[in-house]
Amino acid sequence: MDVAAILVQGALLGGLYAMFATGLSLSFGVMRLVNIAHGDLIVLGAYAALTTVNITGVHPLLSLVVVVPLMALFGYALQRGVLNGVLGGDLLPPVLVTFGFSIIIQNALLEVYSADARRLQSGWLETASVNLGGGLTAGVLPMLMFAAAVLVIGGLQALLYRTEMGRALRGASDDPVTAGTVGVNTRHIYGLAMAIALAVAAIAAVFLAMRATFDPSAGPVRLLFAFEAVIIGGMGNLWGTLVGGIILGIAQSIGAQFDAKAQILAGHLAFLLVLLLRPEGLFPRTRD
Amino acid sequence: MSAPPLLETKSLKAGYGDFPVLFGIDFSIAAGETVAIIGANGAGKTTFLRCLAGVVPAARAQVTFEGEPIAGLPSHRIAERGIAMVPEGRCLFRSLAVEENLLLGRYTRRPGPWTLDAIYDLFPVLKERRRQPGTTLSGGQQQMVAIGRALMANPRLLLCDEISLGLAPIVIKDLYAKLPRIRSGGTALVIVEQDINLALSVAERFYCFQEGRISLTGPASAAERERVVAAYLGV
Amino acid sequence: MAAADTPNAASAPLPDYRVSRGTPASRIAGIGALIVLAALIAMPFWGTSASLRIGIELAYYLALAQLWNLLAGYTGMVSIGQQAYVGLGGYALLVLTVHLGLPAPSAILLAGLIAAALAVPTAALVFRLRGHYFAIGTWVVAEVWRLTAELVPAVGGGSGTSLPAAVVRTVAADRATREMAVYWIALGLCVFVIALVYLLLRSRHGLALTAIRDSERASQSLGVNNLRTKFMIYIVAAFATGMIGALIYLRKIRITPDSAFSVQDWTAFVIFIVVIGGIGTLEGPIIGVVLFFVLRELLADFGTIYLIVMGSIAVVVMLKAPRGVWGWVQDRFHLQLFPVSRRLNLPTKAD
Repeated sequence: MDVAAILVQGALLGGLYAMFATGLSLSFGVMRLVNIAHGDLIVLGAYAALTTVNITGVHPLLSLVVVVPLMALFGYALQRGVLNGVLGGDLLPPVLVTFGFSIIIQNALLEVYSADARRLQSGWLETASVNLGGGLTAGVLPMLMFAAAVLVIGGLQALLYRTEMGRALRGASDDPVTAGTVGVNTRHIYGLAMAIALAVAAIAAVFLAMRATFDPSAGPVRLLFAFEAVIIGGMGNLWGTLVGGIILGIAQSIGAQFDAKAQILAGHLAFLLVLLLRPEGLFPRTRD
Repeated sequence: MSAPPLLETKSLKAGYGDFPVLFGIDFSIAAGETVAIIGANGAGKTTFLRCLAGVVPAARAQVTFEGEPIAGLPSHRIAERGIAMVPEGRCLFRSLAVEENLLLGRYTRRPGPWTLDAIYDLFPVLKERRRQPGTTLSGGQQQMVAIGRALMANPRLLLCDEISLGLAPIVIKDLYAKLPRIRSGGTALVIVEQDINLALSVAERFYCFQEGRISLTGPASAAERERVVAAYLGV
Repeated sequence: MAAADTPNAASAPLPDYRVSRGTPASRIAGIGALIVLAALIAMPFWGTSASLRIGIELAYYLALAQLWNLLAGYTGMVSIGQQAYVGLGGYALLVLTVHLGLPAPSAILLAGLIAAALAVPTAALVFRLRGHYFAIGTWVVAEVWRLTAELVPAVGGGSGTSLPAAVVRTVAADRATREMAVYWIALGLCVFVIALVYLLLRSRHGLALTAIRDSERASQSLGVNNLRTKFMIYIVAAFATGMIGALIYLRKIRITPDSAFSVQDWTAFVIFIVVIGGIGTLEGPIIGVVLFFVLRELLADFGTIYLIVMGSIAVVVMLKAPRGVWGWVQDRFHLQLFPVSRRLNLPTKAD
């Protein structure tokens, strides 16, 4: 049991989980909306990538060019068309509507693509590895995944804290009424937030599709991973979510050593442990 | 007034759901004018301002701005047309620093003299605290941020809802001392206050609200004071 | 009903007031319910085997729906993890009967208690989360139980196991009697759950619940102990759900982790029933469960389309008619069949 290898593997996996979590975190941070269909939307993205690759024959990574804008557009439409209508104080409507969507998406995918497990072939990327020194090796694909996560989070932070749109997003999340009086079209801004969230989910989806097999029912588990990464890392802090993802990845990596089935369970247990000892997460950004 | 009013309301009625608050307000303000609205708590002053800003809906034709009907438009459209609000209670964006609050004020990109530097010139203390979260400032400074944020939109009409609320007299005095500079830019001001003297000291005309209706209106000259008090108290 | 004149506080006594609950509609409904109940109890004697089977399923879905409604519609605790207690109840039944040799009927009661006991540490954990995050947290816990069941060979591991014939016979020796017995247990559990929820709502706890749901801060300032009330409701719901889970697996005989802890069967369908029927009312789940079964019959041959339709109906109802069918009835006809709300009756001037 090579401890260093486990840690590296887990940490790199954490990058993927952080990307799962970022979209969820954004929609909750800006709109107070927890999208229960988030995992299923990631899987939807994976299938979109699959179809793109099947039609065009390009490498999965290139499918990002199609899948990201497609999912962003879908996110905007979804938010403005349906989800803007369930925002507001009441807890039930967003939970139930997104839960309903989760069921719809899963079964629609099942109808169109069947229950067969799929995977995107990424050629040499799948097996290539890099020597990190000290006898450690790491796969190129996982490293790419982690780099993508860092870039995405960094980009999002820059967007939120250095641009006018970011200010508008943060202002609208604080006080949508006052934001309106300052000229912010909150309906449109929320649409943009969801578009970004799904764009990030699309990137995560393509990596997911390359890394492991997926099927229509693979969504809920991803939602749980995303959620756990957010809670472990601390709400309201994107870099914290990266740390949360890493911890989750490492916990799963350790669990996998005992039993393949124990991998996911180990992640859940790590989450519950953090919930028990430090419910606000490791790096919470106090909001209210 | 020979020129057409900048903003005019005719029989404005509005409320919250089943709860009516305004029962027919006739109001007008000319470009560059300063008008005061006074009245006790619950008289409908804040609701009226929120109607003008588009936060509370009213029937479309009941409010006209620059000749166009605006009631019922979403608030961001009204902001684009040049109506800015300094809301009751300041309502600074909690997650944003002072400068970020101000910058968000120019979201509508309306052209005009009020730039970030101009705001810092008006309220120098804000420049020192530009990176601080808005919530760490004193009440008076927060009020400056709220006013500055509204000015950044270079509005033609500025709605000020009880800017003296909760502030010490000397702070209020300093704040009101800045109003002439704001007026000199050509901005029309609606000043809502519970303190009659304060409001009348800066306004050219006033309206007195009582239980959702206008009980008195006229020029803000000294001779009116006794009538005003009577109207205010509903005696 | 004119209000009495506001009395001068110093001199006049308080007006004579009564707090009434029943309405003519609820009294009629009460009598109707008793008749229906009598017919249902007697069903093994006049119904077919098929109708008994549907009756059992209807009974346990209705019970699950009333419980979910109690949590989400009345107390404001939206849980998408109640399948944890269905599964725990089922596995508890398995362990109690097979490994500890208890007869099935009493094992059902004990399974409920075990579920309630396990709900205590669960609550301690998930109550640290609020709102939407609470919902997902409950799901995580359910998944933990599911994965644990998959890893424990003694209860069949991933492929599950079946209740041995000897255990099944502890209910009754022959098949027909067994069906009757399971039916009566199911009916009894359903009536018990409805009675429990009804009595809870009529009690002062009921006022506390609606207060908590409407505004946690306000209810707290009035002295309602939010945490303790919510905790109690959560444990009670787990207890009842555990018993129902045990009953379900006594009926199905075969148990697997995926089916016992299925989000779809025990949460999605239940939510659908409550939302369509009318959340926050006792009458709603009853309507909802009937609609659910009708829909299932109509679309039985269509597999995944059935679920897509169900999900779409739930989304549309939530957007357009969030109070469901019964909510619409209430708005139109001002009916309430279960007398749980209170009306203040003041004497009129004529009295």
